[in-house]
Amino acid sequence: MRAFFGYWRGIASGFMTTLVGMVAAIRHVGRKEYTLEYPERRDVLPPRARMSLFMNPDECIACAQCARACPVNCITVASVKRPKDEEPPLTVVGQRKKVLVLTEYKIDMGRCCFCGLCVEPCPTHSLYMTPYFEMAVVQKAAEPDEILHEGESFAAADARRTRSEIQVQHPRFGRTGLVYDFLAITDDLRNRGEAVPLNPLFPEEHAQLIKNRVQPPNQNTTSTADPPGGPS
Amino acid sequence: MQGMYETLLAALGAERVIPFSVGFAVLVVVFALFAAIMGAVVALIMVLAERKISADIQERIGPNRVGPMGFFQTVADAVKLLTKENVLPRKADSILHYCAPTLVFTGALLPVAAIAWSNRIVAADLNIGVLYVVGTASFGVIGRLMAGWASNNKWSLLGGMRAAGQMISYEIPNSIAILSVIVLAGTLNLQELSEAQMGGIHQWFVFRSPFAFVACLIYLVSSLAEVNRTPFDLPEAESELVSGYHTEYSGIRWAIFMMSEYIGMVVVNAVAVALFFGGWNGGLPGEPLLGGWIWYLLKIAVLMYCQVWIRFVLPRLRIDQLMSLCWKNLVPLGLLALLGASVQALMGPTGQRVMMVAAWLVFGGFVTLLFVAVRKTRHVPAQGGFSG
Repeated sequence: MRAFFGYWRGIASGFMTTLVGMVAAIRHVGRKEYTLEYPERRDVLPPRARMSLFMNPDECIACAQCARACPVNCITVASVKRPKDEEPPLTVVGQRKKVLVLTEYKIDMGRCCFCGLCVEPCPTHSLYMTPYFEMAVVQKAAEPDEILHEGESFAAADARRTRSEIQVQHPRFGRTGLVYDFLAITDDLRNRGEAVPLNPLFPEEHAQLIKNRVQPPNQNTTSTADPPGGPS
Repeated sequence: MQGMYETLLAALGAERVIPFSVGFAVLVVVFALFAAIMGAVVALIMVLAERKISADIQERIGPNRVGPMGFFQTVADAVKLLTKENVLPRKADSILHYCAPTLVFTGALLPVAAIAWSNRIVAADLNIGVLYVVGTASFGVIGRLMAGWASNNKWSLLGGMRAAGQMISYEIPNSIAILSVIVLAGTLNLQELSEAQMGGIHQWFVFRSPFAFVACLIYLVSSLAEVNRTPFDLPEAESELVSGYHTEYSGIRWAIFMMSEYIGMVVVNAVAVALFFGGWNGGLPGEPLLGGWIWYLLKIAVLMYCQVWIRFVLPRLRIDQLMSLCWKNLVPLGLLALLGASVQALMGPTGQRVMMVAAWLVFGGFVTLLFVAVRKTRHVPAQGGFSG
C-alpha cells in the first residue's frame, strides 16, 4: 500500500517540480538583459578602479622605489644629477624635488601583473592606477627582436633589447604598443592640449594643489615663480 | 487521396498536355524537393529561434553580430557548414558513414507527407496516416545506430546505442498515448482526425476527455525523448559523449543530422496538434479563419516554444532514470489512459458530455497547479556589472 501511494506521490512531485521549474524560467522572459555589448557600449568604471598604471613625471622625484618594489621588474627609471645652479622645481603636492632629474620612465605593460606594489612606496603619489582598462594592442613591440623569446630570462631579454628604440605607446593617448614611456606620453598630451590624468585617490586635493600651487608651511623659500613643468 | 494533385494539375491545364500519371509523378518529386528545402529553412529558423529564446530566458541578448539583431546568424552558419570539409575518420566504414545522415534525414522527412496542414493541403492523405507517421519517424534510429557504428569511435557507438535504446523504448508510451485518441476518434487518418475536432475549442480531444488530457502530457514527454531533446538528449550528451553518434561528422553531414532533429521536432508537434489540439481548426466553430495551415503552424510554434523552454529548465536524465521514467511511469499511466479512453469510446452522448466536464475539471486542476507554481516562484534579479 505504501509503495502504491509512494509511486503516485513520486509522479505528482515530478510533475509539480517540472511545472515550478518552467514557471520559474518563464518569469525571466522579456526582462532587460544584463549583457553589455562591449565594443559598442562600455562600462564607465568607478574613478578609483585600479586598471592601467599612469605616472605623472611632474611629481616624480626619480627615487626608483617603484622599480625596486616591482616583482616582475617591468619598470625602468633613469635619472641624471641636477646641475648645481638649477633651482629644483616643486612637485604638485608641494614637495621640493631633490638632486635627480628624471630622464626615462618606462613600464612594460606586457609584463606588468597589476599588483599595485609599485604604487604603495611612491612618496609623491606620482604613480597611480587609472580606471582605463583597454590596453590591447595589435603589435606588442616595435621590432620582433623585442619580444621575449622562449626560455629566455627577463634579464637576458633586457640585455638584448635596444631600449631606447622602443617607441612607447599608450592606446588611449594615441599610441600603440605595450611599453609605456610616460615622459613621451605626457609630452604628447601637453602638445595636444589635454590634461594629464590625476591620481584618482586624491582628485579634489590635487585639483586644489594644482590651482594654488601651495607650499608646505615648513619651507622658507620664496620661489613662488617656479617653472610649472618640471623636467622636460 | 490525389485530390490536391488533380486540382493543381487541372489548374495548370496540364492534363491536356501530358498524361495524369506523368504529371502526378512530377508533382510528387516537386513536393518532395519542396519538403526537403522547407525542412532546411525550418531548421535555420528554429536554430535561430532556439538561441534567441534561450537568451530571452537567461536574460542575455543571443546572436547579435550577423544582420539586424543577429537574424542572419544561422544563414552564415549554413554557408560555413556547406563550405566546410567533410572529415572521414581513418578505419571508419565509409559507406555506412556516408549513408547514415541521409537515412536519418529521410526518416525525419517521410512523416511530413502524411500531415494534413489544412482541409485542402495534404501531400498524401493516407487512411493509416498516424501509423505511417509513427512507423517512419522511428526509421531514423537505423541511421543513428549506423552513424554510431560506422564512425569507429566509442563515444559515437555509445551514442548510437543510447539513441536506439531510448527511441525504441519511448515509441511505446508515445504510441499508447496516440492510441488513446485513436480509439476516441475511430480513425487513423490525420485529415479525419482534424475534421473530428471541428466546431470549436471544446471539441479538441484534449478538452473532450480527461484520458486524452493525460495521454497528451504523456505524448509531450515521450515526444521529447523521441527527438532527443533535453532532458532526454542522452544520445548526444555533450558532457559525456562529446556529441554522441555525430561526433565524427562535420560540415554538411553534421548539418543534416541537426536539420533532421529540428524537422523531427516539427513532426512530433504536428502529430500532437493533429491528435490533441484540434489540427487545423482555429478554435472557433465553422471554417478556420485565414486558412487552416496558419492555425496549424501557430500551434506547432507554441509547442516548439514549450520544447525549447523545457530545455532550459530541466537537466539531463541519467540513463536508468530515463528508462525507469519510460517503463515504470509513462507506460502504466498511458495504459490507464488508454483503458479510460476505450471505456469512454463505448459511452453514449450523455457519457461523452460527462467526460467533457471531467476533462475541463482536469484542465482546471492543471491551471490551479500552474498558479501554485507561480506562487512558489519569485523572480530574483541578477546582480553584477557596474551599469547593471
